[in-house]
Amino acid sequence: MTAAAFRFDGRAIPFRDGDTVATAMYRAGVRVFSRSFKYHRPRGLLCGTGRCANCLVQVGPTPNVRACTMPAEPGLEVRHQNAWPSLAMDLLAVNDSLSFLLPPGFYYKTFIRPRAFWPLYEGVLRRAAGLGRIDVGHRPEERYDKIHRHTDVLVIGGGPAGLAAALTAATVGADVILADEQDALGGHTRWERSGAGGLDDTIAQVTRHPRIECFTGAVAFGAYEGGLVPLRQGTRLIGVRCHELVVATGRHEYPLVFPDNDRPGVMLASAARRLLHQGVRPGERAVVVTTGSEGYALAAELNKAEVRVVAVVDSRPSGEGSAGLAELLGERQVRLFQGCGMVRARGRRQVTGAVVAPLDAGGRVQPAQGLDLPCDLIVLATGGTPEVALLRQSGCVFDLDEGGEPRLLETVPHVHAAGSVLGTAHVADQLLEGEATGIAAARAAGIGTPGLAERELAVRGRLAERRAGPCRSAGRPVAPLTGAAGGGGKAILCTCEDITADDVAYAVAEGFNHAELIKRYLTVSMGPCQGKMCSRVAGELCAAATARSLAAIGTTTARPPVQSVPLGVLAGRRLEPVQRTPMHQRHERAGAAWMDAGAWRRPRAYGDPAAECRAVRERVGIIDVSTLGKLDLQGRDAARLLEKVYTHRFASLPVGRVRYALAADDSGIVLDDGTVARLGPERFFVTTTTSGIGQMESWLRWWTEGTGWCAHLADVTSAYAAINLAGPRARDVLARLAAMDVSAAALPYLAAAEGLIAGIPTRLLRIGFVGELGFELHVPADYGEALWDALLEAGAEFGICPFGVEAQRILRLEKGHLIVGQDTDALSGVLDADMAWACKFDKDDFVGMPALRRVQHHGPRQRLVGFEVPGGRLPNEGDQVVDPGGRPVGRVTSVRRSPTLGRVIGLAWLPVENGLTAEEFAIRSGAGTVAATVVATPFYDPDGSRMRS
Amino acid sequence: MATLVRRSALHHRLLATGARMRAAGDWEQAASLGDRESEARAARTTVVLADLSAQHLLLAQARDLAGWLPAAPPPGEVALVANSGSPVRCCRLTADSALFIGAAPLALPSAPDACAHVTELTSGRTIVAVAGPRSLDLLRAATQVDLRERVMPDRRCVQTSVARVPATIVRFDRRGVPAYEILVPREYGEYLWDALLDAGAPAGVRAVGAAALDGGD
Repeated sequence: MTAAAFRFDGRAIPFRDGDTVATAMYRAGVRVFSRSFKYHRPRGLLCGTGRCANCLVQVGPTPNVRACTMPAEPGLEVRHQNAWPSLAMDLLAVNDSLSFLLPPGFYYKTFIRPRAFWPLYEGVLRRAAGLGRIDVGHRPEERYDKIHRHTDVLVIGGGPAGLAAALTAATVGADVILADEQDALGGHTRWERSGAGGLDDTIAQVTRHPRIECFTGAVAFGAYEGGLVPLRQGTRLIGVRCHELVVATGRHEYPLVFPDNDRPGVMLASAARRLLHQGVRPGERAVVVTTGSEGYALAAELNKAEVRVVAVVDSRPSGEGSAGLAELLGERQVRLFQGCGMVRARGRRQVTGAVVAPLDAGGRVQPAQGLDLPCDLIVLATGGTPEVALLRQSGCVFDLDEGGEPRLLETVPHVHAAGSVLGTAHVADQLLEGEATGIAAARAAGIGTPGLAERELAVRGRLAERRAGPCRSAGRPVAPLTGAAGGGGKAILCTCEDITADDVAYAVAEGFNHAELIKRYLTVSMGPCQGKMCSRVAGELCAAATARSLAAIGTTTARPPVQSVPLGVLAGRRLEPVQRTPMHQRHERAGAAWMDAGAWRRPRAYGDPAAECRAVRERVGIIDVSTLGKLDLQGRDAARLLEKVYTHRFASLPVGRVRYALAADDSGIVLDDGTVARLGPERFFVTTTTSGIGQMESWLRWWTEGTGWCAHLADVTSAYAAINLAGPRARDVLARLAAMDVSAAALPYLAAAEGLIAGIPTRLLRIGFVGELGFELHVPADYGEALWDALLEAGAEFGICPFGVEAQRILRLEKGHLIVGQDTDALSGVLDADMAWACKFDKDDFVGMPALRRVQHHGPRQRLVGFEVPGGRLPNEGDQVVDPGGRPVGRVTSVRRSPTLGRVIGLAWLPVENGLTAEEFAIRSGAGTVAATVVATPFYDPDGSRMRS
Repeated sequence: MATLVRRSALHHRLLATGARMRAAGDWEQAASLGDRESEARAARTTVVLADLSAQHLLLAQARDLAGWLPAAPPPGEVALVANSGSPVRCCRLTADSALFIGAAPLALPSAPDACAHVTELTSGRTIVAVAGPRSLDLLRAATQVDLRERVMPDRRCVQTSVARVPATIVRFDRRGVPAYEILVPREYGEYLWDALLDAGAPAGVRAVGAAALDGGD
């Protein structure tokens, strides 16, 4: 009984167990849920299965929720969409009357002149267009989740064929996942008069089977490469990777096209059955329109639910099922119209009647002979079309038979189909076909139970016997009825986009005569239903208008998603990997301002970067450089590998020494830089840039594999914390902690050594990126905090100061050191960057040498130069260097105000003309230009005496 | 000078949640985060996370790994092999590489004439154990790799990604309860820990001390 309520436009709507928002609203007498997209026509329940977009409502902050599949829950705030100021009084409903001003493509044609008015048009159109409203400030409380599954067999569809396929495949040994979009298994049988009772045992076996995992309420919205089929289940995405895919998605209905066929009260049989299932009477007086026997069964079901069936309108001159009509409907007087069809529906906010008339020999309705039948419900039991989207996305090939039914011509490996999606009409046949398909899928998945092939053959034999007669569903035997000429109202073809049958004729007259062209011109099938309600009828109308076959009209390409999917579901949980150095907590405590370097979190500064620079220049500082890439390279050919990949010479590098290393690609473009320290005759410690480690590891590994040299590489970036201790007092600090001789004599510039610092096993490299006496200290990462603390403690008396990345960038710029990736890009050659000093052309070979020799011969076309800005104005990194005509000819890669030098310095790429670069140039910065002067680098300590001290 | 101890990437995260630390060799390790008994019960009945980074790791690479280390299992498998008296786990990553994981420092036989090399990776990985009967519920929300029993039984390993981070998953059941050790580069430790707690929330995941995996001993 009534347990709870939600609200619709402020009105309390009670609901019962199992109700959706739509069934509860219908029970409460609500017929109009929202307004349509273009003409703002009243819209209510149409399909009841979540396929059309007729019942879209706003639920809380979420727009475009299908009321027919949204479970009713206490407290929901449901609101209508697309109507202003109210659902009952919608001012934009005037569009319906002014539709002659809004023909197909009107926005392409009407709003192009005068051109200056476009911003005005655009503003109005954007406000008027769209479905629902998004609250951009809303932060969802739902947990959007993403999980993954692997299975041997994935069955989509929990109807008879899907159940049989899943159970059979699992029984013979396959892991099976069964997914169905409904909230319970049983498929179409759940809603039919016979019910799913005949399948109860099968459903029980399926749900209990240990090899079967069932997902109900889960829509398979695409079929991707590698057997990936994503399921949307509420706010959760289930990514299923299957070996075999069984598509048992059945069929879906779509509406007839006749004037005012979208009025609330016109609904498909599927919607009427769902209402009946929930104990809701779809109407008081019903006209059932059918093209086969199904309409009679439905009429009986309505009658049983105390709905007065006024008439059954059967398009067939005489048809199966009509003989039992009197018996089905008892003593009620039901009028039977055979060989008739719909002229139009009557009513505006709700159906008040149906006009029916005989069909001519061509299946066209004769409006002049129309007969009015008062009613408040028109049920369309007019057949449907197979749900082949997943099969087509998988690569299966279909054509259309003479009745317009998709016919499977060609399947693909690992994809199977069963049931009414193939046209198999009867439940018993669907069960047999499912069983055979389950065996086939299990076999294809590699399940090797003996006798499976024979069993599959036997089942298929039984199926063939049962199919002695016609086995395919009849589909819709007559062309869709337009009736527009005599009807007057709009015959809506696409309820999502308010496309009418007349629009198709209009488009054909303009030359759009193929399914793909009609789609693009009319946007038919591009709405939320993705063509389920309209594609086939659009094709039929186009075929009729052009006197061609459906095959000639063609079909549109099937693409995911089959059903609309919230972006939150695709995004899933927030997963943004973060790399933290071993000293992260120390930086946090010191109040570091953070910056991102890829996924790394690095301290940008601890306070004033200029003060940090001065501390390094005048005293001593430390910076966390753990993010540097680090490689352990071993093997008797390790030196040979380095000789090949790096431009410098390494075969001659003595043990205990470190050297700058620059790598180029085959074109002589800068790849990466770092250092190489020789730890032993066959062992090297290689550092790379923070972002370059992945590339350099792959590059070195590629050359190792390709040459067959004995060299092994291991990425040890994570294994070492690294600290750069720099400044004139650096040695004093180190001496306090070192259990080794760190004097200039024992540890000269470019020395590499291993020893204990603060009791921690440390690898020391005597190098300096910031241009001062410096030591790069590498320790096992677990000791990173301990070393950091020890250095700060020992350095306190020397005024030690931690410095961040910003200070480091200033300091290295003063020294003229480039940063690969900032000062270089994919067009920056080694010689262009003035790095000839790092290339040993007297080596046998290195990667990039031939290209660089050509550059040596012809000269570079651009050059990285140092510059100063005499005026003192600070341009931005990335600003363009422009020629006197204002054309961009280069760019600024680094620029800072130097605290040490007291002027603006930078690096920029300039063009080379006649072997020379300009001595002065202009930088376009903001609204103006800045004059700059080329100067020699390094800007600071040009002879390097401080670094070597 | 204070005694030096090794601390995992999760040290501060665990301390913040009330972990009680204990010495484990030269490491400091979270023994428990609360009641040991209930932690051990959770490990037997639901799913738990524990920091197992305090282990020694060696990466062995060789052209002829099987010739150098005959005890190494086939690729994708994990075997217990002898190491100075205490067995260690050998995870065969590829045909020419294997990862050795042990509680004590590791030593491998030298092979001066073979192209065979060893790299110490002890400090380079965060190791998070996911253990308990509902382990798969958590892992299936964190990784796309196929972890079905048939594909990934006990004593198997796979290189993949977990929560979008490059990872090695080593399955090594404890006392008959499924247990997976996830090895990621050390710097992803805190991120992985948070991501796994989030992924396992619907399954009722709980963070525990390392002792819980051994029955609370």
